[in-house]
Amino acid sequence: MTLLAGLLIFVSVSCFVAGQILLKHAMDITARPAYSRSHAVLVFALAIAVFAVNFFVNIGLLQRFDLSYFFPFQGMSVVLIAFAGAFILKEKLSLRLTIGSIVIGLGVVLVSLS
Amino acid sequence: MIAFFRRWFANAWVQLSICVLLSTAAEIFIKLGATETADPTSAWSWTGLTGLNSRWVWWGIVASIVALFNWLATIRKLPLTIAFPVGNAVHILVPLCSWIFLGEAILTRRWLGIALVLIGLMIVAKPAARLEEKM
Repeated sequence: MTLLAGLLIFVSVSCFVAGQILLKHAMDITARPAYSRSHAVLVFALAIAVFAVNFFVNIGLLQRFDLSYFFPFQGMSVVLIAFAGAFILKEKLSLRLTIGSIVIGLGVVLVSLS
Repeated sequence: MIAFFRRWFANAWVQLSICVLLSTAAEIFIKLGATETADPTSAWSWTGLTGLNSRWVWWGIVASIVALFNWLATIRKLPLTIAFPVGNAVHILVPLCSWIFLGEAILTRRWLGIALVLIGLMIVAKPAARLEEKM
C-alpha cells in the first residue's frame, strides 16, 4: 500500500465517522420541541457533503483494491463512532457495549491483515 | 393486515435490517462499477469520479440513498452506540458476498476476523434487546 492510498483510507474513514456524527446530531436537533430548521438543514447538508467525499474516495480506492481487503478498514470507524457517540453526543456507553465495540474493532483489524 | 405490516415496517430493527442488506448490495455494486471503470494511469482516478461512467455505480448510489433513509429511520429510535455496532453486520455480509459474487479469496485469518466481529455483535445484542423492551 502506498502512502497516498493509506492517506486516502484515513480520509475515507474520517469522513464516514464525521458523517455519522453529523447525521445523528441533525436527527437530535429535529427531535427537540422547538428547533431551528435552518440549523438542522445546515448540519444535515454538512453530513451529506462529507458522505459524498467518503463515497468518491471509496470508488478511487476500490479501483485499486479488492473489496474484501479494503472494506474492513471502514470498520475501524466502529470504535471511533461508539466512543464519539458517548463523549460528544452524551449517549450512555455501558461496559458491555464498550467490550463489544472493542471485539468488533479487533475482528475488523484481523480481517484487514489477511 | 396492512396496519400490522405498517407497524412491522416502522420498527427500528426492521429498518436496520433493510439498511444492512442495502448497504451490502451497494458495496458490491460500487465494486463492480469501480472495476469496470478502473484506469490507474488517469490522474483523476483517485477522486473516484470516473466511476460515475458505470451503471453499477449508479445502482450503488440508489441502494446507498435508500439505505441512508432506513438508517435515518433507525437512529431516530435507537441510540447511535447501539445502532452502529449492530449495523456493522455489513462487515460479515460484505466479505461473504465478495467471496460468493466477486470470487475474491478469503483466507483463514479473514474468517477469524469475521468470527470476532460476530462475537462482538453477540456481546452488544443483550443491551440492544433491553433497549427495545423500553421502546
